[in-house]
Amino acid sequence: MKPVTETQIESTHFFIPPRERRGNAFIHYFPSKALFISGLLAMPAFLFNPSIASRCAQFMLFILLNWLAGRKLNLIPLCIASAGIIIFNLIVPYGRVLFTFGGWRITEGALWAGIERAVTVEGLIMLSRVSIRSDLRLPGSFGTLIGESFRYFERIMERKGGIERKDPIGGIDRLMLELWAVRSGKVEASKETRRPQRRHPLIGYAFLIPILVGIWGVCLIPLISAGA
Amino acid sequence: MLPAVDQDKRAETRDSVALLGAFCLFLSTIEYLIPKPLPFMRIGIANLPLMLALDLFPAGPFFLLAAIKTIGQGLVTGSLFSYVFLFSLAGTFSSALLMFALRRGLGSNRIGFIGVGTIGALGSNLVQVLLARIFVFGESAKYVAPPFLAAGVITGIGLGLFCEAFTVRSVWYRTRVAALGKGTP
Repeated sequence: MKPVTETQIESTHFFIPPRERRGNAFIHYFPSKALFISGLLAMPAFLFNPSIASRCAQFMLFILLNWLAGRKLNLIPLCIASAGIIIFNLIVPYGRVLFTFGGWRITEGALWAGIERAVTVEGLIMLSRVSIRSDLRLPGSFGTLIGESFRYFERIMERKGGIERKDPIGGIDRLMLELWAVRSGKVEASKETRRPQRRHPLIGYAFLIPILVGIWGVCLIPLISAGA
Repeated sequence: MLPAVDQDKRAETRDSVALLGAFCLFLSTIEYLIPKPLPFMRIGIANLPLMLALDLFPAGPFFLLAAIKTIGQGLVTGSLFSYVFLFSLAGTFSSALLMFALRRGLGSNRIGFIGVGTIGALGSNLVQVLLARIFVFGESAKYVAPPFLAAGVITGIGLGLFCEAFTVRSVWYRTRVAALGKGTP
């Protein structure tokens, strides 16, 4: 009988939640740079989409992609924010009166404008969340500096329990002093934390192309049909 | 080539910017977790490191910190491709510009952190209301503006009070002022 390896023990003893599993798979298949570029390419197709219906379809696709990426989907705040945008747009009436609600005229133009803005704001957030990952490395000296900030940030996140609610000033001060003290060893630390370049399977890149084609297709179909 | 003292000071400034940038990211993460009625409406606690940096850095590193705050926030919260990033960029830079101009123009004896924080928050919120008028609310933005600006005044005063207390008590801040030189007249 073959001896059981440590990895096998770990895999049987630790249950990975489905969302985390999806997130890990997403990181494995999709490089952060490719996601960034895809997001950049998808943004105009969403932003300049003339049809609200197809913009809603794109929005649903972004939600699905967020789900696949293992991102936490908080639908209640999303609905509250969207409702807030729609309600504020309804304050100034324009267009045909659909109905009145306690003396408040609900107009068609204002309602559509509210829905369009709510879908755009929330859709861009969804697109951004799926295409921007914190492991994205920016080029140049500014990219290096922001990378240093992220290294300090990781240390802060490790020690955040050290900031007491009773004495936040003292806690923050101690944290800053601690981080400042270890900065002399930051070259070694950065070497330690520098991870080897991850190799991403080609299927990840291949999967992004039909998604982009779909997003652009949904935008172009109403434009072409309007032209015809 | 720069003399060794200048090089040391530059390295210290760079490290201080990176550390304060990380502090901005940490506060942005906390802010991200606080529920808000609209995605771009923030209480502005991530501006705290910017206020602390007012007396530490000259214009270049100060605005570099503002850029780290905005772009880092966009990366951490994944909002780089959304209107939230545009709001954050405009709000941060308008408040940074106002705070820097006031603190350097009037001096730390004439304007304290409470004044700087309040005007900075008001400037940031005003720019964001203008953007909200264009992108989100249209004409209805005038109804959002009063509570949004009032919230800015409250958080600006709160942040200012925290900054005053922090600069008095913090050992780290005192060592940084001693090393980098207090930049305000």
